Amino acid sequence: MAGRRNQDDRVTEQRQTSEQAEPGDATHPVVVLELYGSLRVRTGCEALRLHADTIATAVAVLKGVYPQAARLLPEAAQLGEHYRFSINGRAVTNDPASLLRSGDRVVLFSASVGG
Amino acid sequence: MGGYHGHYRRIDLSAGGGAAALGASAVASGASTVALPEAVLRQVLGGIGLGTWLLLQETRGDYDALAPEAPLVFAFAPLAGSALNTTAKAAVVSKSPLTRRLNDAMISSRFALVGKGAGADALVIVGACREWSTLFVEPEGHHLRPTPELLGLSAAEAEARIRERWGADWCVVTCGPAGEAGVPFATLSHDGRHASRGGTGAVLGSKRLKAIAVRGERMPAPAHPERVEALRTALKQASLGPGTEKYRSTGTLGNLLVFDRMGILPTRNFQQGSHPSAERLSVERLLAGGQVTRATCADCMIGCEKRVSLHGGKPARLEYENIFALGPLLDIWDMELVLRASSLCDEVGLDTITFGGTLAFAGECAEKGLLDSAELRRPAREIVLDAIALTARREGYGALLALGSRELARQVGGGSEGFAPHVKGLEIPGYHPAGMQTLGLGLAVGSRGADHNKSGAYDLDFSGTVDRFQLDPRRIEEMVEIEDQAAVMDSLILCKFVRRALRDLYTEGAEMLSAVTGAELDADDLRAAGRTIHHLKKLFNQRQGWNHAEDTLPARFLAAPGSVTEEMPPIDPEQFLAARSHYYRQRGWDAQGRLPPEGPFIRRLQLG
Repeated sequence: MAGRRNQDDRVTEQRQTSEQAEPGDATHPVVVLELYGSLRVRTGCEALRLHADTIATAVAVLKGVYPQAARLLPEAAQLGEHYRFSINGRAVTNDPASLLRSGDRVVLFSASVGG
Repeated sequence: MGGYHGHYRRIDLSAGGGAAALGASAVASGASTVALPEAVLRQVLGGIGLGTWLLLQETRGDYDALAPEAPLVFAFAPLAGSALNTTAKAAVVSKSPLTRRLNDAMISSRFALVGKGAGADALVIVGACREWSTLFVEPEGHHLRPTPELLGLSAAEAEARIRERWGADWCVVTCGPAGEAGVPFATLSHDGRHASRGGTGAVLGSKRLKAIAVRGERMPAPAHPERVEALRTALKQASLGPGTEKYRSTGTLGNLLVFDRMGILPTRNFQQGSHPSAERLSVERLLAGGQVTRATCADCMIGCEKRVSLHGGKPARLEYENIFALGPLLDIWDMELVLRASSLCDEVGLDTITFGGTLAFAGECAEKGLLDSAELRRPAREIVLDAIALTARREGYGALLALGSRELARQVGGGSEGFAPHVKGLEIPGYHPAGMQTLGLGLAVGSRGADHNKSGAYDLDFSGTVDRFQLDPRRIEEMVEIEDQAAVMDSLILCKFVRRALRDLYTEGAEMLSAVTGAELDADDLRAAGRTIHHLKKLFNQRQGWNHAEDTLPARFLAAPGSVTEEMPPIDPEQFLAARSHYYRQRGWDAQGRLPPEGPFIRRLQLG
């Protein structure tokens, strides 16, 4: 996955210049949440490094850091209906309860794929 | 029934002796109004379903898509003009000169409403004019006017000229210079929107028609206006909810960075699925820079259309498919150049996906030494603008590009057929099939060729419940269901961008159709209509000589590991064939993918 590693590096570099400590419960692993579309535009953030044990937790942390993201993201129960998540850019899930491991990168994107 | 006129208008351009003989306001002979059986309308609904049924009524065996007698059908829809929003679309159905199979295109906005208001559920146009003309259609009849002065104009210019000269109440579809020249992937355009794929513009041009203008307000009333009003309010509310957020905010342009991240952004003729420079073409960057404005079709609340203006220049409409086909596919990462190329394709009237796919393919052929062309060996960024202009005129190396990738591969040979990026001659849209394998099968079996608007199986690949790198036969039933839903939406007509805003398409669609028509239909009726419409498409293709060998993908996607990209495994050929067989069974077709037997089906649909 050479191409993917290059891109991951680009996103990471951007994050490192814009953030300090990781938000979230410090007992949870450190992961990166990548933002696209209006989430990225509204927050001005490409990728947020944070502590989270599940995708739902990661999204909750995101909402805490960027209240403007909260207005775009539905409640946890509807999250999987309108958004999709890919852990490390490969498999796709609609389950916000999916567990995360240290170093995972969660791609958060709209479930409306076509067009 | 409400919502329908109950008849279509058949116009034979040859029968009136040509435009010159008719006089400025004379009604052409060769016109007839033909009743549409209610039992048929209930089965095919309207739009794509009705257009395909009419094409089957008009034709029998194989024929030349650009022959004078080849029909060009504009089919309107029962929900259009009913006050329900996101319904302003019409179907444009013909045989494709590019694929030589069914071409069921859509065109958006006011033409769909005013065309229906011109007094018929469909226009069936056959024959050809003696000289370049414009066809005017209104409730009282139709007439032809010679308009040689419009030749060479872009679609937008011709449309403006017609409305200036004959009145702004005319709504116009036109072809650009590429349609006049018979390029088999020429577009039809109205108000900047295009029936873009498969060469509808060339079919119009083959009839020596530069344009068709419609006007009228003879709209059939809905059967239950109060029910329609309640449904309109609900649909409006739903179309402003989270199910359409992406289309409202980024439009389809939002696909680009996500697809790049997921490794399915077709790059360099599908040789890669991502690129470090993708960010340069991102809508996120354009939005952050305040360079995007939003526009809507008639009767739409979503506003998926994005107009991009760089450096204060003239705004250009841009969609994901344009940007992918004129950017990454060609290894072009300069937003300004992509915008110029997209605008130029619109001006000359070329389908961006087929143009981009063919140029990318020709470039790879030249790079591999299979095509002896100094121009095509140059990077696409250096030639793309000239290539568009030359293709539209079929001049120089543009004459090669104007063939499309399938025909060009046949001429080039040397194994190039394996990486010509098409299905049935229609170039593959901006989804890498190896990274979305259910969609890959959907593109392969598509009646129109590689058409992402008819399959929609990307919803399955990204559903979160499917391994997108596998073709799982257990998911074929859902794939068929998604295809049927697309056929129903294209026939009611409802914009597909509201699909996630609806609880259940069949139930809610049936409620809408019942309120408009007064015929009480239920979800099962719409489900059956989706199946029937797919059978109609298959029947047309069978009559044109289709066989199951066409239901495949280029060898590039079905070959050995490493043949696609470094990151992506190819589609397993055995898995593909097994899944295709399963698909045929699921559709009720035989092992060769044919509709058996034709007899009862033809009788039920009253296809004489």
